[in-house]
Parts: sequence; C-alpha cells; structure tokens
Amino acid sequence: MSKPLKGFITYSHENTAQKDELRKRLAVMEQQNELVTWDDGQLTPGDGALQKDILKKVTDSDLLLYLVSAASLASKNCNKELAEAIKQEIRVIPIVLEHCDWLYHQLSKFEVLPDKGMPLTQWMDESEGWQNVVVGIRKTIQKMQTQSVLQQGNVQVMLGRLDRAIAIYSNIIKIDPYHVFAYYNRGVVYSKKGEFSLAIRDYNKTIKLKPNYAKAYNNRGLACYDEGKLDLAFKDYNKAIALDPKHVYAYINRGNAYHKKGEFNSAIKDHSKAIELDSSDADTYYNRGNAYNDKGEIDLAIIDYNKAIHLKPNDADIYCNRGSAFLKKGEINLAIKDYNYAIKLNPNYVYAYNNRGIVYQNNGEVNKAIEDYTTAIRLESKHGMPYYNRGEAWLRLKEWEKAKTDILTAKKNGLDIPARFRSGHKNVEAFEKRYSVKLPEDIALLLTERRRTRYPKTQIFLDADGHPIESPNVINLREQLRNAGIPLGEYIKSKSAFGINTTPTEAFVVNKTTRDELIASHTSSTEILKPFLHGKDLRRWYVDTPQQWLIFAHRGIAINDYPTILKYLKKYRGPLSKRKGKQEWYELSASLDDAERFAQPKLVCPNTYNHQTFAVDTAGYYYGNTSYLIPTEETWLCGLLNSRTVEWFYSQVSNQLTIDYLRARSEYIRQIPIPDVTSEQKALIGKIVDYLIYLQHQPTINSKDLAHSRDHIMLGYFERIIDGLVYEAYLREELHASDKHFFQPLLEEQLPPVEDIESDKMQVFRDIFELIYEKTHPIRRNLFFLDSVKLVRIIEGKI
Amino acid sequence: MKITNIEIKNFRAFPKTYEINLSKTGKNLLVYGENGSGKSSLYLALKYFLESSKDSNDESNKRNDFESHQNIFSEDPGHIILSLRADQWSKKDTYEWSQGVKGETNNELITEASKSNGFLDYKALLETHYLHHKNDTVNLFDLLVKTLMASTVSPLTDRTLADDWDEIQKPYPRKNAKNQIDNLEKRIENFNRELTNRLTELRPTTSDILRKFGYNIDIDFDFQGVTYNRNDKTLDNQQILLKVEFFDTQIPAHHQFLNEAKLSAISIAIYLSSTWIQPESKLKILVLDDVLIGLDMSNRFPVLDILEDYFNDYQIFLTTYDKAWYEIVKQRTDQKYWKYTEFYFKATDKYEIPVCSEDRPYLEKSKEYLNDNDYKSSVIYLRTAFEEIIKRFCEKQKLSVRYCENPKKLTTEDFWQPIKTGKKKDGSPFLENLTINKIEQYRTCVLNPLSHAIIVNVYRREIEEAIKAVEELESSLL
Repeated sequence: MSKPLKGFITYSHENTAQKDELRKRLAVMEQQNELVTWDDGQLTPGDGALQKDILKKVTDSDLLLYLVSAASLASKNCNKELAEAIKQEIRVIPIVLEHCDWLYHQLSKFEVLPDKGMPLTQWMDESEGWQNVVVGIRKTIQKMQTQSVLQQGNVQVMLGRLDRAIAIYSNIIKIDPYHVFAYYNRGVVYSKKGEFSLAIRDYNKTIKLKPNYAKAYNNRGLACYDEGKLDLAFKDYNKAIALDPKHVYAYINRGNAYHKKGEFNSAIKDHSKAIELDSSDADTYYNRGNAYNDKGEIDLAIIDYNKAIHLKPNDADIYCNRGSAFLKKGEINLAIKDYNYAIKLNPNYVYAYNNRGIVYQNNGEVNKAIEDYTTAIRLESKHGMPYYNRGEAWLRLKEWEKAKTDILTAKKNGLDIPARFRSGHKNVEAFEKRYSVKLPEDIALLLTERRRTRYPKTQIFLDADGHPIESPNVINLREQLRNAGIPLGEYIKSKSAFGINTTPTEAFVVNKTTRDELIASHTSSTEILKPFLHGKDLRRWYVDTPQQWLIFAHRGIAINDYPTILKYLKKYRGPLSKRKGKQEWYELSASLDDAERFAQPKLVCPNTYNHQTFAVDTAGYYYGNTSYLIPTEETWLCGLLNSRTVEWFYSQVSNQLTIDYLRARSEYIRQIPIPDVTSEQKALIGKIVDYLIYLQHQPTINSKDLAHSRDHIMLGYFERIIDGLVYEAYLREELHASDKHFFQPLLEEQLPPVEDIESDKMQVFRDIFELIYEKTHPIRRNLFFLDSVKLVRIIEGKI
Repeated sequence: MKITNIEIKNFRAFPKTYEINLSKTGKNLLVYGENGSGKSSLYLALKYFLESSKDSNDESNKRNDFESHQNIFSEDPGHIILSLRADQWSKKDTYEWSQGVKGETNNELITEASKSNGFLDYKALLETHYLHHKNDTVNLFDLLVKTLMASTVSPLTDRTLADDWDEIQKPYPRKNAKNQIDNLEKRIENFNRELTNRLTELRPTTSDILRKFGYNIDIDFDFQGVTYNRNDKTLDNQQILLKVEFFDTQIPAHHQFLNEAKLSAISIAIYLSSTWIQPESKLKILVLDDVLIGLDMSNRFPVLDILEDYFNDYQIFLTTYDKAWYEIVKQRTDQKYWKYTEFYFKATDKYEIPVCSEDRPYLEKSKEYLNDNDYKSSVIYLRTAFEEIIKRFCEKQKLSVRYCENPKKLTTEDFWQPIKTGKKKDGSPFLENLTINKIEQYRTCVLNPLSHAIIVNVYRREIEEAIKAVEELESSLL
C-alpha cells in the first residue's frame, strides 16, 4: 500500500522491557512497510532532547501506542504525550500491561488491547497476549489505510475527476470487498456520471452489507428515478423514510417522484413534511413551489419561491421558476425582472434565456426574443426548445428558411414538434390569424404532421436477466440514424418491389442465339423480347448489358400476333401448364403494368448479397424476382444505399441470412432513413455515383493485371468518398465536432460532371483522383482519420 | 501538438516513477541506455499508450490492458501519463493510461496519432540479416508486410496492411466451399493491388531518401501478387524482390552491393517513406528504438538530415546504446530542440543501483567505465561503491546512526559522520586525517549525489584520484 504509518510509543521507563518486546513483535509490520515506530529510547542520551521535541514527534505520528501500567498512568510525561495526541486527534491505542486503574483514566474511552482490556500479565501464555495486541494493531492500521485511500477518492470527486475516484474506490473494494463506504461512494460517483445502473448495483451491495442504511435507499431511489423506474424509486424512498423518518431528502425526492407522476397533492404533502422537518432549507420550499406551480396554484407557488429566495438569495433556479410563475399570472414585467436576475446570477443559464425569450415573444418583442433564443442555443445546442421557439419567432418575421432549419433542428434534438405546436396554438389557422402570416405549406405540415409510428421499433434482444444483449451504443446509434431522416418508403413516391416471377425460366428466358432466331422467323417477336437480368448478374453501381432476353408474354397478351414465340413456348407447355394462377399457360403472371415499372429509371439490387449492391439502371431492363427495384431518377440514392452507414443500418434491422449474406426485403429496405440533405449535396453525391458508374465499366478498373492496380484503388477511393459524404449526411454534428468535413471541400473542387468531360475521360478521372488523394488534401485526411469519430467506429465494426 | 512530459510508473522495466520533461515546447528526445536499462520500455510505453486508444471488443487483445505491462517487481499499480500542448503558449492536456483509468486515451487526438506508423525498433532491422540472397535477389515480402509497412493504413479497407494480411491467412476454406474460396481470392486480389499501389507510392520517396544516404541508386520492387493454391491450400508467391538500378554505373552483382549496412539503409528508407506518404495527425511522433545501430557510422549522419528534411514538424524520439553515437548526436543537435537523457541499469530517481543486479564490485565497474571514457557511469559506480563501504562499516561496527523514519532517507552524511568522528576501542580514530581529507575533497564534486548534473566539469584525473581515495578508504575500513 502507500506510505507506512508512524506510531509513537508512550511508555514509562519502568516498562522499557515491555516496550522493547512490543517493538520486536511489530517488526514484521515494519518490514512490510506498514508501520514505523518511534519512542524516546531512540534518542541518543546526551542529545539533550527537549520535552517539546518529543511532543513534536507525537504531533508528527499517525497513532499513539500507550503502554498502560500503574507507572505510566502516574507519569507526567506519558500524560502530556497522551494529551497532545488527543489534541491532535491522533488515534490512540492503549495496551494494558498490568492491572491498574486505567478504567478511571481518560484512556478508557479508547478501544484497548488486548481484547476487553485483559492485562498482558494475566494471559496464561504471555506471547498469546502479545499476539492479540499485534493483530489488533494491524487491523487498526488497515482500517486507517483504507480510510485514507477513501479520503483520496473523495478528494478526486471534489476535484471533478470522477473516473479516477472510481478507480480508487474500486481498488479499495479489491482489497476489502466488504468496505461499505467504498461501494456507497462509488455509487454516488456513478450517479454523478449518469451511469445509473452501475450506481444501483453499488447501492445494492451497500444495502446488503449495511441493511438499515437509509441514505443508501434514498440514493438508490434517486438513481432509479433518474433511470425512469418510478415504481422502484417509490419503494426505496418509502424504505428510507421508514428507516429514518426524519430524512428530509427522502421526502423531497419522493415528493418529486409524485410530481413526476402528476400526483401533485401527494407531492405537496411530502414537500410540506420536508419543510416541517427543516424549514431552513431553501430546497424544501423551492420543490413545493414547483409542485404548486405545476398544479396551477400559482399564488401559493410564488409564496414558496419567495421563502426559498429569502433563505437562499443567490439561487438562479428559484428566480427562473418564480419568473415562469409570474409569466403564468401575466405579470410580464415581474417575470422579466426575475429572469434578468437569474441570468445575472448565472450568465450561462439556458432556461432563463429561453424563458425570457418566450416572455419577449408574447410581448411582441420578437427581435429581443430571437436574441435570447440564440444565446440559449449558443450555450447548449442539444436542446430542442430554444430552436423551436426561435423557429416560431422566425415564422412571425416570415423568415421561412430560417424557421424551417430551426424547427427541423428542434425535431432532430428530440422535440415532439406537433405536440409543442398544439400546446401553444389551436391549429395552423389560429396561428396565422393571430400573427397575420400565411405559413408555407411545408412548414404548416412540419408543425402539425404527426409521424405515424408505422414501423415497429427494432426488436431488442434480451438476455436471461432481461438486459439488452446489444450494447446501448449500438441501439442508440440505430435509433439516431432512424431519426435522421424519413423512411425510404415515404421518400420514394412510387412503389418499390421485386422483379417478376419468370418460372419456368428455361421457357421464358432465352439467350442471344435463340433471340436472333425468334426475330429472324418473325419480326414481331422483337416487341416482346426484352433485355433481362437476374439478381446474380448485378454489381455495384452499374448494370452490365444483358446477355439474355425475357419473353414478356404478359397477362392478356394477344399471343397470336407472335406466332414464332407461341411455337417456341409450346415446347415447354408441360411445365408451363403446371403453374398455379389464373394466367394462360403461355402467359407470365406479370401484367402490362409491369412493363411500365421496368421502363422507368430505377435502382436495382440482388435479393441476397454480402455488401450493399445497388446499381443505377436507366436503360429499362427487365428483372426476375431475384432482384429488387426502386423506381427513382435520383441517382444519389444509389450512393446512399451502397454506403457503409446504410449497410450497417440495414444489417441491424433486417435478418441476416448467414454471417455474410443479407437478404433484400421490402419491409426493411423501406425503413432505411433518407437523411435531409440539400439539393446541392444530393447533386454532389449523384456526381460521384456517375463517376463510379463510368469507372465500373472501364476494362482497367477491375483488371487482375497489377499494372492497373491504381485504377482499382481509384474506384475504391471514390466509393470511400461516398461513405464519407453519407456519414456527414447522417452524423453531421458528430463529424463536424471532430472537424471532419466532406461536402464543403469537395464542393470547392468543382468537379466536372461526367458528361462534361470531353477528351480522355479516364485521364481526367486519374487527375482528379491524384488531386484529392494527395496526403494533405482535406478529403484524404478526413477519410484517413474518419474512425476517430466513435459512431463511425461502431459502423465500421471497430468497436 | 507535442508531448511535453512523460511520466511512467511501474510499467515494464520502469520500477517506481520515471518522469521525462520535454519542456513546454515539446523537445525531441535522445536517450542513451545500456541494454536492459529501459530504453525499449520507453518505446513500448509510447507505442502502447497510443494503441490503448483503440477500444476493442476483442477479449483476446490484452495488449490494451495496462495490467499486462505492469512492472513485475511492483504491486503498486502503475500508469503512463502524457502531457500534451499544441504549442508552448497553449494549455496543457494530460492523459492517463493505467489499470484504473481506461477511457482517457480514447480520444480523437490520440486515436489519430495511433494511425501514424511512427514506431520502429531495432528488431525490425535485425531481420535484414536473415533476408535470403537467392540468385542475387533479395525477397523483402515479410520485412515489408510484417514490419516496415505493417501499420500503414489502406485507404480502402481502412485497416493496416498487417491486419489485411492476417485476414487472408485465417484458416483457409474447405476445398468445396466455392463461395468462400471466391471471397478469399477476392481479398487476395485486393491485397495485391493495395500492396502494389503502396509500393508504387513510396518508391520515389525511398529513392530520394537513399540518395541522401549517398547511394545514387533507384530502387524498385518486383511484386507479382500473392496467389492462392487451391489444391495445396497455400499462399504462393509471397515475394517482393528488390531491384536496384544504378544511375552512374552498372554493377550487376547485387549481392556485393547489398551488404547488411546497405540493406539496413534501404529498410530505413522504406520505413520512413511509407510513414511519410500517409496523412499526418496533429500529434506527430516518430520513435526510433536503436534502429540506426545496423548502419555504419557514416550512414548515421544522413539520417539526422533526413529526419530534419522529411519529419521537421514531428517530435522525434531516438534511443541508442551506442555511447559514442549518443555523444555525437548531442554535439550535432541543438539543445534548444533536443533533450538528452541517459538510462542506467535499473537506474531510478536517485541513481540507486540495486546490489542484486550487479555481479562485480562497484569499484571495478567504475574503473572499467573510466577506461571506456564513460565518466558519468564511472562516477555513479564510484559513488555507489563509496556509499556501500561506509554503510557496511557502520553496520559492522554497530555505529549509531541518526534516527530516520524512512531508512531510505538516510544520507551519506549520516553514515560518514560517525565514521569520521568515531574511534576504535583502543581510542585511535577509524581513519587517518589524510584519508578523511581526501574523501572530503572528492565528496564535494565526484562523490556528490548530484554529481550527475555537474559532470561536465569533472576531469579524468579527478576521477582517478577519487577512485584511489575510495580504495584507500576501503582498505582502512574493511
């Protein structure tokens, strides 16, 4: 452990022999560096050591071992040393050598050794008595050591170094697994850190070791409350109050829990009890005030706040809440005065700014209000309210774009926008009439449209104890991505679906030779012979020219117009007729509508894949049911869907086929969130997708010849750039917080669209690649260090 | 961003606490140390400190746990604490890595620095000695993939080359598992491309650096790509042949040119260029543990210039066990930018040298070092010898020594005084006045515990005289 403790031996010179015996018996402890002892026998005679030097030695020690005998009780010096030790609050251990009158001496208030003060002379075997003394001293030392370590932990807490404090407490627990206060204190620190489940675990342990410890119950209750487990919290508060009916904070906490449940009367009752117990604590009045305030008894609330302010005149919280009470009463000036004071007390008080903003806004001083909201946002960008409020203020100034940005940010920060809007205004018309504005349609929708929770939340797997198997990191990230945009199913107007069923494929799908023969014998065949692809033919980005054709004999076809085809299909009449369904034997189950579906621009992907494999098809190819089709002209979506972020999200929400393969399933693909990005950003992603499409069908790109390896690296690098852009689209704040930008530096490069590159396209791409691959280019740097962002590490499987 | 202070406690070879202050500007560090003195532990301390930032869910990866590096002689939990500053005017940030504090290094700055490939130790270069010379060719595959470029990061997979290579070497698929074989071959294909690309990228810089070494040559790599042999389940063609092209003259016999020293130079050039071609993190450090040892002295000077040219804004940590080289670097570098430190056997805060690690008397060691012109070591051993003699004498004679709670706090003075003034049983003094005077004289300089700091002013003759005095003391006392 740490430094040895210093022990001072007080003895009468008549007991020198026993003193030496004691020192001998403490030798082991000295060798183990747990204790060093000193007594005045170590002074060289003739040093002329003064009494005050010896007393200084006492002051310097950690504990005083007092050899109790008739002689020492009579000794002036011994009693001086003892008095000094008591004065300095040094731990005293009396060691009773012989029968004497110590019980009537002040020594009797200390725990004596040997046990129960049995004098050493009385032991049958004196060495047994000494051993008893040594064991007793060792126990005391160990207690003192952990005590001082505990103290170190508490110091760390005060300094705000919570992790170090936890490490120290954990160390104590390692040494002494029954150290109640190490658990208790660690619990408190975990609570401070917001790690409530760990805190609860420590309080459990504390309670197990010290079953009637009301404080532990109260704290555990608070941790449960913070974790949202109100029922458990009540149980603990009740227990704490039962154990200690004068536990003010247990009443306050239970009161707040009732408050949270909406049971204001019970809350007020508990707070009143707390006030009865300690009417000098501002917190008690403050909390009851809050309960009155929320119950609607504003006047009573203000009275309580006044009392709280009287007791604690410099607490910004109280002013802020009294301000809101005044606001409810319509006392605008008093409210502003309180908020001003709260801000004066705490210039970083987000709520005060936000609330003062509301007062200004209600008072028609919109610009002042905006100023306050902006301050609030500057202080804390994670809250939804100031954004929403500023958004509403912008609406009144008809600054639609600014309003929209703010309201969207509020939404992203977790605020329920429609609920918020309705709590202030009856409906859009009422709002428009009140402020004489006409809201643009999209904003009106934003304010009122409640997103249906159409998709079930992802299943969370629980282990035997009911705890999620997945780490909270993963679960949170999944939900964060989900909330970062609107589902693909809503974003895409037309319906996405699989290709068509072509069984028996040997009948309906033909190769080039057969196709040429069919056309040669009757030209009408061309009309219904469509270039066709299977899922397994698909690659990322780009669709190869098909080498097969589908006989598109849709339902209701006038088959007689295509005599050669009919003749050809007859060869397969057997298997064709065995199919179920209402189609004629020569018909596919598809209808003419499907032709329209295939004709439009679309994204396609195979039904099983191990990496996201979407490709852009603008050529109107036909697909079997092993492919999934998303009708859209927005090629940037292909970049989004092939990104690592979407791959991670998709593998999270869908069922994985095996370890490696994913299966495309409509209900999951439609859940993929499409983040909110500007049209310029979409265009940029689209441009890179176009590059990739072009590159993907260049011969050198996928050549096995290592001489062309740099071209392949170029392809991979552009794909990586898409990953970067998509990360920024989904996790903008996280990336920007660590100074990782992709859109901006890439937009500044003003890359040419593929179709504008006239001369040697490949050379131009190589030049572009070398430019942005340069080790100092921000794109290269940011890609290289992208995984310093924690969420990216989760997605890339590095945590 | 520079490291301004390093505190290492109970980590590997470091018992107790060792602190290296690199001043507010974050100087480069030059360390001289004998083998076993903790040089390599310093190297590993920095390396693992950065790596500890990569939180991993891999249970088997214990390297990130401080516990596995705890000094085995000490139960007191250790730590490594680094202080960093953006520049001398900015605020100091301190990061701790220890058993108890795990998350603190999990920080953007340190994660980014850990991708830098900034660590090279002498073991890597020993491998150049085992390179095969077949038909005048040298195969660099293992050296490059597993050592020199091992921690360079692929722009595509965003993993290190070594990790990509390990991935390929996972148990090979069964013969009929077509999909898995396809996947493996695709991975190999990408690995080949990636490696080819990297070799192309680093070639110009490597040649440039070699020219600074004074070799007017151009090097190239012949890499045909690793292939998977489905029948034998082996990875064939693990071969990167070194091709050397001479500008001035054609020297066909490579093996004559490619001696070990030149291969060492080439290895260093490859390592430095593969580090240089990567993007740079804010905290740029380059730690070279004894790597120059394989080079001829004449080839070591250029390295200093190369570091200056290519890694000017890096913080350099050089260690060496070559005393002469250490002194030369000291001469050639500016102490405004460099800090010089020496590690000795088990040397701790007060240069106490534990008896157990020694097999020869201190006095002999002291003389030996004097012969090697290593004055500093000589003096340290001499002082230790002196202390040992007087302590032993006090114990033997049971002389009463000043009381001190912590025996370690006893100073030489506490032992010396009773000897100086004490008398034998017959009443004569322990020592003659002449001996006392000599010892007193050298105690102020040579035998002073702080002698380390003022060593520059100690002359050889003084040390010789001091050794004599201590020898005299020994013969009178023991």
